[in-house]
Amino acid sequence: MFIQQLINGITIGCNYALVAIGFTMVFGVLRLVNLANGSIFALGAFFTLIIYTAMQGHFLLSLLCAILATAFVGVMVDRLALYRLRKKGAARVSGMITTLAIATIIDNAVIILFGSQTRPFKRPKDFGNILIGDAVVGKLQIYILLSILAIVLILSYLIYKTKLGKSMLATAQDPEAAMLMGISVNRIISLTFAISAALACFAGSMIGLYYQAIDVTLGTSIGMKTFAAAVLGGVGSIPGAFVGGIVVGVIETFVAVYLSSGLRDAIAFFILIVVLLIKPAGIFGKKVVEKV
Amino acid sequence: MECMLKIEDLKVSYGNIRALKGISLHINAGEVVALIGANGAGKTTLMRTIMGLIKPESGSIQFMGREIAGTETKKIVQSGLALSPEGRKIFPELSTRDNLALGGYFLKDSEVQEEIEKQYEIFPVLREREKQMAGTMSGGEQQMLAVARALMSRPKMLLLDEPSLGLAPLLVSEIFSLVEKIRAAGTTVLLVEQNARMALKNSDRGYVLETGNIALEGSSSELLGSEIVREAYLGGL
Repeated sequence: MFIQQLINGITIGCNYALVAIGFTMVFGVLRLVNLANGSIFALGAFFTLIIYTAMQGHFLLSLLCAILATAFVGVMVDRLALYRLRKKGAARVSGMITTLAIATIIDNAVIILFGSQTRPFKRPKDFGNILIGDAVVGKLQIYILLSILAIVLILSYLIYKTKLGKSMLATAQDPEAAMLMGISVNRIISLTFAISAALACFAGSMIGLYYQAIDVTLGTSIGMKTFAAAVLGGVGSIPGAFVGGIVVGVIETFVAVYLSSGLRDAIAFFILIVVLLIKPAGIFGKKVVEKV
Repeated sequence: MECMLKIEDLKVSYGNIRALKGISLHINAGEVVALIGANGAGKTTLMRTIMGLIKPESGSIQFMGREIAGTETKKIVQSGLALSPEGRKIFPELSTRDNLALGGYFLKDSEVQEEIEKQYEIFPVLREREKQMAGTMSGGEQQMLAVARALMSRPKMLLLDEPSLGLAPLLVSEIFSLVEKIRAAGTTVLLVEQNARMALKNSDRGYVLETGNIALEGSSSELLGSEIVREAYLGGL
Protein backbone atom coordinates (compact mmCIF):
# COMPACT_ATOMS: atom_id res chain seq x y z
CA MET A 1 0.00 0.00 0.00
CA PHE A 2 2.72 2.44 1.02
CA ILE A 3 4.90 1.69 -2.02
CA GLN A 4 1.85 1.85 -4.23
CA GLN A 5 0.86 5.28 -2.96
CA LEU A 6 4.45 6.46 -3.11
CA ILE A 7 4.62 5.58 -6.81
CA ASN A 8 1.24 7.23 -7.42
CA GLY A 9 2.47 10.34 -5.62
CA ILE A 10 5.68 10.45 -7.61
CA THR A 11 3.74 10.08 -10.86
CA ILE A 12 1.58 13.09 -10.05
CA GLY A 13 4.54 14.91 -8.54
CA CYS A 14 6.63 14.54 -11.69
CA ASN A 15 3.96 16.39 -13.62
CA TYR A 16 3.84 19.14 -11.00
CA ALA A 17 7.62 19.23 -11.27
CA LEU A 18 7.51 19.91 -15.02
CA VAL A 19 5.01 22.73 -14.61
CA ALA A 20 6.95 24.14 -11.65
CA ILE A 21 10.19 24.08 -13.67
CA GLY A 22 8.52 26.16 -16.39
CA PHE A 23 7.17 28.56 -13.80
CA THR A 24 10.53 28.92 -12.08
CA MET A 25 12.35 29.46 -15.40
CA VAL A 26 10.07 32.37 -16.28
CA PHE A 27 10.54 33.74 -12.79
CA GLY A 28 14.30 33.36 -13.12
CA VAL A 29 14.52 35.31 -16.35
CA LEU A 30 11.89 38.00 -15.66
CA ARG A 31 11.37 37.98 -11.87
CA LEU A 32 7.77 37.52 -12.89
CA VAL A 33 5.19 35.40 -11.07
CA ASN A 34 3.36 33.92 -14.03
CA LEU A 35 -0.15 33.24 -12.73
CA ALA A 36 -1.25 32.14 -16.21
CA ASN A 37 0.97 29.06 -16.07
CA GLY A 38 -1.81 26.80 -14.74
CA SER A 39 -4.24 28.01 -17.41
CA ILE A 40 -1.68 27.22 -20.09
CA PHE A 41 -1.41 23.76 -18.55
CA ALA A 42 -5.16 23.21 -19.00
CA LEU A 43 -5.10 24.75 -22.47
CA GLY A 44 -2.29 22.40 -23.49
CA ALA A 45 -4.22 19.39 -22.22
CA PHE A 46 -7.28 20.49 -24.21
CA PHE A 47 -5.17 21.02 -27.32
CA THR A 48 -3.87 17.46 -27.09
CA LEU A 49 -7.35 16.06 -26.51
CA ILE A 50 -8.91 18.00 -29.40
CA ILE A 51 -6.14 17.23 -31.88
CA TYR A 52 -6.10 13.60 -30.80
CA THR A 53 -9.85 13.30 -31.26
CA ALA A 54 -9.69 15.04 -34.64
CA MET A 55 -6.82 12.90 -35.87
CA GLN A 56 -8.39 9.59 -34.76
CA GLY A 57 -5.34 8.05 -33.21
CA HIS A 58 -1.64 8.93 -33.38
CA PHE A 59 -1.41 10.09 -29.80
CA LEU A 60 2.27 11.05 -29.92
CA LEU A 61 1.81 13.10 -33.07
CA SER A 62 -1.18 14.88 -31.52
CA LEU A 63 0.85 15.54 -28.40
CA LEU A 64 3.66 17.01 -30.46
CA CYS A 65 1.28 19.32 -32.36
CA ALA A 66 -0.34 20.40 -29.10
CA ILE A 67 3.05 21.14 -27.54
CA LEU A 68 3.99 23.34 -30.49
CA ALA A 69 0.63 25.13 -30.38
CA THR A 70 0.89 25.72 -26.62
CA ALA A 71 4.47 26.93 -26.93
CA PHE A 72 3.24 29.41 -29.52
CA VAL A 73 0.55 30.63 -27.11
CA GLY A 74 3.22 31.00 -24.43
CA VAL A 75 5.35 33.18 -26.70
CA MET A 76 2.31 35.27 -27.65
CA VAL A 77 1.44 35.86 -23.99
CA ASP A 78 4.82 37.53 -23.69
CA ARG A 79 4.88 39.36 -27.00
CA LEU A 80 1.33 40.72 -26.85
CA ALA A 81 1.24 41.72 -23.21
CA LEU A 82 4.31 41.39 -21.04
CA TYR A 83 6.85 42.61 -23.60
CA ARG A 84 4.92 45.84 -23.98
CA LEU A 85 4.91 46.36 -20.24
CA ARG A 86 8.67 45.80 -20.04
CA LYS A 87 9.25 48.22 -22.87
CA LYS A 88 7.36 50.88 -20.97
CA GLY A 89 9.32 50.09 -17.82
CA ALA A 90 6.15 49.16 -15.94
CA ALA A 91 6.36 48.06 -12.31
CA ARG A 92 6.87 44.36 -11.78
CA VAL A 93 3.53 43.96 -10.06
CA SER A 94 1.78 45.14 -13.26
CA GLY A 95 3.29 42.13 -14.98
CA MET A 96 1.90 39.79 -12.34
CA ILE A 97 -1.56 41.35 -12.49
CA THR A 98 -1.42 41.06 -16.27
CA THR A 99 -0.74 37.33 -16.04
CA LEU A 100 -3.83 37.05 -13.83
CA ALA A 101 -5.85 38.72 -16.61
CA ILE A 102 -4.29 36.38 -19.16
CA ALA A 103 -5.24 33.41 -16.99
CA THR A 104 -8.85 34.63 -16.98
CA ILE A 105 -8.81 35.11 -20.75
CA ILE A 106 -7.35 31.65 -21.41
CA ASP A 107 -9.71 29.92 -18.93
CA ASN A 108 -12.75 31.54 -20.51
CA ALA A 109 -11.50 30.89 -24.03
CA VAL A 110 -11.20 27.22 -23.06
CA ILE A 111 -14.77 27.27 -21.72
CA ILE A 112 -16.09 28.94 -24.89
CA LEU A 113 -14.18 26.62 -27.23
CA PHE A 114 -14.31 23.32 -25.39
CA GLY A 115 -17.08 23.75 -22.81
CA SER A 116 -16.95 23.87 -19.03
CA GLN A 117 -17.94 20.27 -18.39
CA THR A 118 -15.44 17.54 -17.57
CA ARG A 119 -14.24 15.89 -20.75
CA PRO A 120 -13.26 12.24 -20.95
CA PHE A 121 -9.65 11.84 -22.04
CA LYS A 122 -9.47 8.56 -23.90
CA ARG A 123 -6.25 6.60 -23.62
CA PRO A 124 -4.81 5.43 -26.96
CA LYS A 125 -4.79 1.89 -25.60
CA ASP A 126 -5.08 -0.06 -22.38
CA PHE A 127 -1.56 0.05 -21.05
CA GLY A 128 -1.97 -2.73 -18.50
CA ASN A 129 -0.31 -3.10 -15.11
CA ILE A 130 2.78 -4.65 -13.66
CA LEU A 131 3.45 -5.82 -10.13
CA ILE A 132 6.33 -4.34 -8.16
CA GLY A 133 6.40 -6.36 -4.96
CA ASP A 134 2.74 -6.30 -4.01
CA ALA A 135 2.14 -2.88 -5.55
CA VAL A 136 0.13 -2.67 -8.74
CA VAL A 137 1.72 -0.12 -11.00
CA GLY A 138 0.20 0.98 -14.29
CA LYS A 139 2.56 0.76 -17.23
CA LEU A 140 1.30 4.21 -18.15
CA GLN A 141 2.73 5.47 -14.86
CA ILE A 142 6.10 4.00 -15.78
CA TYR A 143 5.94 5.64 -19.20
CA ILE A 144 5.02 9.00 -17.68
CA LEU A 145 7.83 8.77 -15.14
CA LEU A 146 10.43 7.79 -17.72
CA SER A 147 9.42 10.40 -20.26
CA ILE A 148 9.42 13.18 -17.67
CA LEU A 149 12.78 12.04 -16.37
CA ALA A 150 14.12 12.11 -19.93
CA ILE A 151 12.69 15.61 -20.49
CA VAL A 152 14.24 16.92 -17.28
CA LEU A 153 17.62 15.41 -18.15
CA ILE A 154 17.59 16.87 -21.67
CA LEU A 155 16.45 20.23 -20.36
CA SER A 156 19.17 20.25 -17.69
CA TYR A 157 21.76 19.45 -20.33
CA LEU A 158 20.46 22.27 -22.52
CA ILE A 159 20.46 24.79 -19.71
CA TYR A 160 23.68 23.92 -17.90
CA LYS A 161 25.90 22.67 -20.71
CA THR A 162 25.12 24.52 -23.93
CA LYS A 163 25.87 28.07 -24.99
CA LEU A 164 22.16 28.78 -25.39
CA GLY A 165 21.47 27.54 -21.86
CA LYS A 166 24.29 29.59 -20.42
CA SER A 167 22.95 32.68 -22.10
CA MET A 168 19.60 31.91 -20.43
CA LEU A 169 21.31 31.62 -17.05
CA ALA A 170 23.22 34.82 -17.72
CA THR A 171 19.98 36.61 -18.61
CA ALA A 172 18.42 35.36 -15.38
CA GLN A 173 21.37 36.50 -13.28
CA ASP A 174 21.82 39.94 -14.84
CA PRO A 175 19.76 40.87 -17.91
CA GLU A 176 21.63 44.09 -18.56
CA ALA A 177 25.04 42.43 -18.43
CA ALA A 178 23.65 39.74 -20.75
CA MET A 179 22.72 42.47 -23.23
CA LEU A 180 26.25 43.84 -23.00
CA MET A 181 27.55 40.43 -24.08
CA GLY A 182 25.41 40.79 -27.20
CA ILE A 183 22.73 38.33 -26.08
CA SER A 184 19.26 39.11 -27.51
CA VAL A 185 17.49 39.13 -24.19
CA ASN A 186 14.02 39.37 -25.72
CA ARG A 187 14.68 36.26 -27.77
CA ILE A 188 15.81 34.42 -24.64
CA ILE A 189 12.61 35.52 -22.88
CA SER A 190 10.46 34.26 -25.77
CA LEU A 191 12.29 30.95 -25.71
CA THR A 192 11.76 30.67 -21.95
CA PHE A 193 8.02 31.24 -22.36
CA ALA A 194 7.93 28.65 -25.16
CA ILE A 195 9.71 26.04 -23.02
CA SER A 196 7.55 26.81 -20.00
CA ALA A 197 4.33 26.44 -22.02
CA ALA A 198 5.58 23.27 -23.73
CA LEU A 199 6.35 21.69 -20.35
CA ALA A 200 2.90 22.66 -19.06
CA CYS A 201 1.27 21.15 -22.15
CA PHE A 202 3.17 17.89 -21.74
CA ALA A 203 2.28 17.64 -18.06
CA GLY A 204 -1.35 18.58 -18.78
CA SER A 205 -1.64 15.87 -21.40
CA MET A 206 -0.06 13.28 -19.09
CA ILE A 207 -2.42 14.22 -16.24
CA GLY A 208 -5.30 13.93 -18.71
CA LEU A 209 -4.17 10.47 -19.76
CA TYR A 210 -3.60 9.42 -16.17
CA TYR A 211 -6.96 10.56 -14.80
CA GLN A 212 -8.72 9.92 -18.14
CA ALA A 213 -10.53 13.24 -17.76
CA ILE A 214 -9.83 16.94 -17.89
CA ASP A 215 -11.73 20.08 -17.11
CA VAL A 216 -10.92 23.73 -17.10
CA THR A 217 -10.67 24.10 -13.31
CA LEU A 218 -7.68 21.78 -13.36
CA GLY A 219 -5.63 24.76 -14.51
CA THR A 220 -6.25 26.87 -11.43
CA SER A 221 -5.58 24.07 -8.99
CA ILE A 222 -2.39 22.96 -10.79
CA GLY A 223 -1.29 26.57 -11.03
CA MET A 224 -1.46 27.00 -7.26
CA LYS A 225 0.09 23.62 -6.49
CA THR A 226 3.04 24.20 -8.79
CA PHE A 227 3.46 27.67 -7.32
CA ALA A 228 3.73 26.01 -3.91
CA ALA A 229 6.17 23.47 -5.37
CA ALA A 230 8.39 26.19 -6.83
CA VAL A 231 8.40 28.14 -3.56
CA LEU A 232 9.19 24.95 -1.64
CA GLY A 233 12.17 24.27 -3.86
CA GLY A 234 13.32 27.88 -3.92
CA VAL A 235 11.89 30.10 -6.64
CA GLY A 236 14.26 30.42 -9.57
CA SER A 237 15.99 27.09 -8.88
CA ILE A 238 15.34 24.39 -11.48
CA PRO A 239 16.47 21.44 -9.32
CA GLY A 240 14.40 23.02 -6.54
CA ALA A 241 11.26 23.10 -8.69
CA PHE A 242 11.80 19.46 -9.64
CA VAL A 243 12.18 18.29 -6.04
CA GLY A 244 9.40 20.62 -4.87
CA GLY A 245 6.99 19.23 -7.46
CA ILE A 246 7.63 15.64 -6.46
CA VAL A 247 7.36 16.42 -2.74
CA VAL A 248 4.00 18.18 -3.22
CA GLY A 249 2.74 15.27 -5.33
CA VAL A 250 3.79 12.64 -2.80
CA ILE A 251 2.52 14.56 0.23
CA GLU A 252 -0.89 15.26 -1.28
CA THR A 253 -1.26 11.61 -2.29
CA PHE A 254 -0.45 10.43 1.23
CA VAL A 255 -2.73 13.02 2.77
CA ALA A 256 -5.57 11.93 0.49
CA VAL A 257 -5.06 8.27 1.38
CA TYR A 258 -4.22 8.41 5.07
CA LEU A 259 -6.05 11.55 6.24
CA SER A 260 -8.85 12.66 4.00
CA SER A 261 -9.21 12.98 0.26
CA GLY A 262 -10.95 16.30 0.87
CA LEU A 263 -7.62 17.75 2.02
CA ARG A 264 -5.90 16.82 -1.23
CA ASP A 265 -6.08 20.27 -2.79
CA ALA A 266 -5.60 22.16 0.47
CA ILE A 267 -2.31 20.55 1.45
CA ALA A 268 -0.31 22.50 -1.15
CA PHE A 269 -1.30 25.74 0.57
CA PHE A 270 -0.38 24.29 3.93
CA ILE A 271 3.08 23.46 2.52
CA LEU A 272 3.31 26.95 1.08
CA ILE A 273 2.56 28.60 4.41
CA VAL A 274 4.96 26.35 6.31
CA VAL A 275 7.79 27.04 3.85
CA LEU A 276 7.19 30.78 3.96
CA LEU A 277 7.23 30.71 7.75
CA ILE A 278 10.24 28.44 8.27
CA LYS A 279 12.49 28.82 5.23
CA PRO A 280 11.20 31.49 2.86
CA ALA A 281 14.12 30.95 0.45
CA GLY A 282 13.02 27.33 -0.08
CA ILE A 283 15.12 24.16 -0.06
CA PHE A 284 17.52 25.17 -2.83
CA GLY A 285 17.14 28.91 -2.58
CA LYS A 286 20.00 30.96 -1.27
CA LYS A 287 20.33 34.32 0.26
CA VAL A 288 22.06 36.71 -2.07
CA VAL A 289 25.14 38.31 -0.60
CA GLU A 290 26.12 41.52 -2.29
CA LYS A 291 29.80 42.16 -2.53
CA VAL A 292 31.24 45.64 -2.61
CA MET B 1 44.79 60.74 -36.12
CA GLU B 2 41.76 58.68 -37.02
CA CYS B 3 38.66 59.48 -34.99
CA MET B 4 37.11 56.35 -33.50
CA LEU B 5 34.22 57.58 -31.39
CA LYS B 6 32.59 60.91 -32.02
CA ILE B 7 29.70 62.16 -29.88
CA GLU B 8 27.87 65.35 -30.82
CA ASP B 9 25.33 67.29 -28.78
CA LEU B 10 24.05 64.17 -27.01
CA LYS B 11 21.00 64.69 -24.82
CA VAL B 12 19.54 62.04 -22.53
CA SER B 13 16.62 62.33 -20.11
CA TYR B 14 15.07 60.16 -17.44
CA GLY B 15 11.47 61.33 -17.52
CA ASN B 16 11.64 65.06 -16.82
CA ILE B 17 15.19 65.03 -15.55
CA ARG B 18 17.82 65.71 -18.16
CA ALA B 19 20.93 63.71 -17.29
CA LEU B 20 23.06 64.69 -20.29
CA LYS B 21 22.54 68.22 -21.55
CA GLY B 22 24.33 68.18 -24.89
CA ILE B 23 27.63 66.34 -24.65
CA SER B 24 30.23 66.48 -27.41
CA LEU B 25 33.48 64.56 -27.30
CA HIS B 26 35.75 62.52 -29.52
CA ILE B 27 38.24 59.72 -29.01
CA ASN B 28 40.94 58.90 -31.52
CA ALA B 29 42.16 55.43 -32.36
CA GLY B 30 44.89 54.29 -29.99
CA GLU B 31 44.16 56.88 -27.30
CA VAL B 32 43.40 56.41 -23.64
CA VAL B 33 40.89 59.09 -22.69
CA ALA B 34 39.73 59.74 -19.14
CA LEU B 35 36.25 60.95 -18.31
CA ILE B 36 36.16 62.29 -14.79
CA GLY B 37 33.45 63.84 -12.72
CA ALA B 38 31.65 63.66 -9.40
CA ASN B 39 28.95 61.21 -8.49
CA GLY B 40 25.80 61.96 -10.50
CA ALA B 41 27.57 63.96 -13.19
CA GLY B 42 26.24 61.58 -15.84
CA LYS B 43 29.29 59.40 -16.51
CA THR B 44 27.50 56.07 -16.26
CA THR B 45 24.50 57.44 -18.18
CA LEU B 46 26.88 58.33 -21.00
CA MET B 47 28.36 54.81 -21.00
CA ARG B 48 24.94 53.19 -21.01
CA THR B 49 23.80 55.44 -23.84
CA ILE B 50 26.86 54.62 -25.95
CA MET B 51 26.13 50.91 -25.47
CA GLY B 52 22.48 51.30 -26.48
CA LEU B 53 21.05 50.48 -23.04
CA ILE B 54 19.43 53.91 -22.95
CA LYS B 55 17.95 55.64 -25.98
CA PRO B 56 19.14 59.23 -26.34
CA GLU B 57 16.68 62.07 -26.80
CA SER B 58 18.78 63.67 -29.52
CA GLY B 59 22.32 63.98 -30.74
CA SER B 60 24.66 61.65 -32.52
CA ILE B 61 27.10 58.90 -31.56
CA GLN B 62 29.38 57.82 -34.39
CA PHE B 63 31.58 54.79 -33.94
CA MET B 64 34.14 54.30 -36.71
CA GLY B 65 32.13 56.50 -39.01
CA ARG B 66 28.77 54.77 -38.41
CA GLU B 67 25.86 56.22 -36.50
CA ILE B 68 25.06 53.96 -33.52
CA ALA B 69 22.82 56.21 -31.38
CA GLY B 70 19.66 54.29 -30.46
CA THR B 71 20.88 51.05 -32.09
CA GLU B 72 20.36 47.64 -30.48
CA THR B 73 23.10 46.78 -27.94
CA LYS B 74 23.86 43.54 -29.73
CA LYS B 75 24.76 45.39 -32.94
CA ILE B 76 26.91 47.88 -31.04
CA VAL B 77 28.84 45.02 -29.42
CA GLN B 78 29.30 43.39 -32.82
CA SER B 79 30.63 46.62 -34.29
CA GLY B 80 33.55 46.52 -31.83
CA LEU B 81 32.58 48.33 -28.62
CA ALA B 82 32.63 46.69 -25.21
CA LEU B 83 31.76 47.98 -21.75
CA SER B 84 33.10 46.80 -18.43
CA PRO B 85 30.16 48.19 -16.45
CA GLU B 86 30.07 50.01 -13.16
CA GLY B 87 29.55 47.55 -10.34
CA ARG B 88 31.20 44.82 -12.48
CA LYS B 89 27.95 43.01 -13.21
CA ILE B 90 29.61 39.64 -13.62
CA PHE B 91 27.32 36.58 -13.70
CA PRO B 92 27.63 35.48 -10.06
CA GLU B 93 26.40 31.92 -10.47
CA LEU B 94 28.46 31.05 -13.51
CA SER B 95 32.10 29.99 -13.39
CA THR B 96 34.89 32.35 -14.36
CA ARG B 97 35.35 30.42 -17.56
CA ASP B 98 31.65 30.58 -18.46
CA ASN B 99 31.64 34.32 -17.76
CA LEU B 100 34.53 34.75 -20.15
CA ALA B 101 32.97 32.49 -22.78
CA LEU B 102 29.82 34.66 -22.75
CA GLY B 103 32.02 37.69 -23.30
CA GLY B 104 33.02 36.08 -26.58
CA TYR B 105 29.40 35.48 -27.55
CA PHE B 106 30.00 36.25 -31.22
CA LEU B 107 33.26 34.35 -31.59
CA LYS B 108 33.61 30.84 -32.96
CA ASP B 109 34.20 28.10 -30.36
CA SER B 110 37.86 27.75 -31.28
CA GLU B 111 38.34 31.52 -31.08
CA VAL B 112 36.70 31.56 -27.65
CA GLN B 113 39.26 29.04 -26.33
CA GLU B 114 42.07 31.06 -27.85
CA GLU B 115 40.79 34.31 -26.41
CA ILE B 116 40.25 32.81 -22.94
CA GLU B 117 43.90 31.69 -22.96
CA LYS B 118 44.91 35.22 -23.88
CA GLN B 119 42.93 36.68 -20.98
CA TYR B 120 44.48 34.14 -18.59
CA GLU B 121 47.89 35.42 -19.63
CA ILE B 122 46.93 39.01 -18.89
CA PHE B 123 45.02 38.08 -15.70
CA PRO B 124 46.77 35.00 -14.25
CA VAL B 125 44.53 35.03 -11.17
CA LEU B 126 41.55 34.18 -13.37
CA ARG B 127 43.16 30.93 -14.47
CA GLU B 128 43.42 29.91 -10.82
CA ARG B 129 39.76 30.73 -10.37
CA GLU B 130 38.67 29.12 -13.63
CA LYS B 131 36.02 26.81 -12.19
CA GLN B 132 34.99 28.98 -9.25
CA MET B 133 31.58 30.65 -9.22
CA ALA B 134 32.27 34.27 -10.07
CA GLY B 135 30.07 35.55 -7.24
CA THR B 136 32.32 33.92 -4.64
CA MET B 137 35.48 35.73 -5.77
CA SER B 138 36.95 38.81 -4.11
CA GLY B 139 36.06 42.28 -5.36
CA GLY B 140 39.42 42.69 -7.09
CA GLU B 141 39.13 39.36 -8.85
CA GLN B 142 35.59 40.20 -9.93
CA GLN B 143 36.85 43.47 -11.39
CA MET B 144 39.58 41.64 -13.32
CA LEU B 145 36.92 39.25 -14.60
CA ALA B 146 34.67 42.11 -15.69
CA VAL B 147 37.50 43.70 -17.67
CA ALA B 148 38.63 40.37 -19.14
CA ARG B 149 35.05 39.51 -20.09
CA ALA B 150 34.69 42.82 -21.93
CA LEU B 151 37.96 42.16 -23.76
CA MET B 152 36.74 38.72 -24.85
CA SER B 153 34.73 40.20 -27.73
CA ARG B 154 38.01 41.55 -29.22
CA PRO B 155 36.73 45.12 -29.06
CA LYS B 156 38.32 47.95 -30.99
CA MET B 157 37.38 50.21 -28.14
CA LEU B 158 36.88 49.40 -24.47
CA LEU B 159 34.75 51.47 -22.12
CA LEU B 160 35.86 51.04 -18.51
CA ASP B 161 33.29 52.34 -16.02
CA GLU B 162 34.71 52.92 -12.53
CA PRO B 163 37.19 50.02 -12.53
CA SER B 164 38.78 51.16 -9.27
CA LEU B 165 35.56 51.56 -7.26
CA GLY B 166 35.76 49.81 -3.91
CA LEU B 167 39.19 48.31 -4.44
CA ALA B 168 42.20 48.40 -2.11
CA PRO B 169 44.88 50.94 -3.16
CA LEU B 170 47.31 48.24 -4.29
CA LEU B 171 44.66 46.73 -6.56
CA VAL B 172 43.76 50.16 -7.88
CA SER B 173 47.27 50.70 -9.24
CA GLU B 174 47.24 47.17 -10.63
CA ILE B 175 44.00 47.88 -12.51
CA PHE B 176 45.37 51.13 -13.89
CA SER B 177 48.58 49.49 -15.07
CA LEU B 178 46.37 47.13 -17.06
CA VAL B 179 44.98 50.06 -19.02
CA GLU B 180 48.38 50.62 -20.58
CA LYS B 181 48.64 46.91 -21.43
CA ILE B 182 45.24 47.00 -23.10
CA ARG B 183 46.23 50.01 -25.19
CA ALA B 184 49.50 48.33 -26.14
CA ALA B 185 47.48 45.37 -27.41
CA GLY B 186 45.73 47.75 -29.82
CA THR B 187 42.51 48.63 -28.03
CA THR B 188 41.40 52.23 -27.59
CA VAL B 189 40.21 52.96 -24.04
CA LEU B 190 37.66 55.33 -22.54
CA LEU B 191 38.27 55.36 -18.82
CA VAL B 192 35.51 56.63 -16.57
CA GLU B 193 36.57 57.40 -13.03
CA GLN B 194 35.84 59.22 -9.83
CA ASN B 195 39.47 58.67 -8.93
CA ALA B 196 40.53 61.66 -11.01
CA ARG B 197 44.22 61.67 -10.14
CA MET B 198 44.81 58.03 -11.13
CA ALA B 199 42.69 58.38 -14.24
CA LEU B 200 44.52 61.47 -15.46
CA LYS B 201 47.93 59.99 -14.66
CA ASN B 202 47.09 56.99 -16.83
CA SER B 203 45.57 58.69 -19.85
CA ASP B 204 46.45 60.95 -22.79
CA ARG B 205 43.51 63.31 -22.69
CA GLY B 206 40.64 63.96 -20.38
CA TYR B 207 37.14 65.38 -20.16
CA VAL B 208 35.55 66.72 -17.00
CA LEU B 209 31.82 66.06 -16.77
CA GLU B 210 29.76 68.28 -14.49
CA THR B 211 25.98 67.80 -14.06
CA GLY B 212 25.41 66.67 -17.63
CA ASN B 213 27.83 69.06 -19.37
CA ILE B 214 31.46 68.84 -20.41
CA ALA B 215 32.99 71.49 -18.17
CA LEU B 216 36.62 71.12 -19.23
CA GLU B 217 38.73 69.21 -21.67
CA GLY B 218 42.40 68.97 -22.48
CA SER B 219 45.48 66.83 -22.30
CA SER B 220 45.66 64.86 -19.07
CA SER B 221 48.80 66.65 -17.91
CA GLU B 222 47.11 70.03 -18.51
CA LEU B 223 44.09 68.93 -16.52
CA LEU B 224 46.24 67.59 -13.68
CA GLY B 225 47.86 71.03 -13.52
CA SER B 226 44.63 73.00 -13.86
CA GLU B 227 43.53 75.03 -10.85
CA ILE B 228 39.85 74.11 -11.25
CA VAL B 229 40.47 70.39 -11.52
CA ARG B 230 42.88 70.44 -8.59
CA GLU B 231 40.38 72.14 -6.37
CA ALA B 232 37.25 70.28 -7.40
CA TYR B 233 38.53 66.77 -8.05
CA LEU B 234 41.99 66.26 -6.62
CA GLY B 235 41.22 67.51 -3.14
CA GLY B 236 43.04 70.84 -3.21
CA LEU B 237 46.81 71.35 -2.84
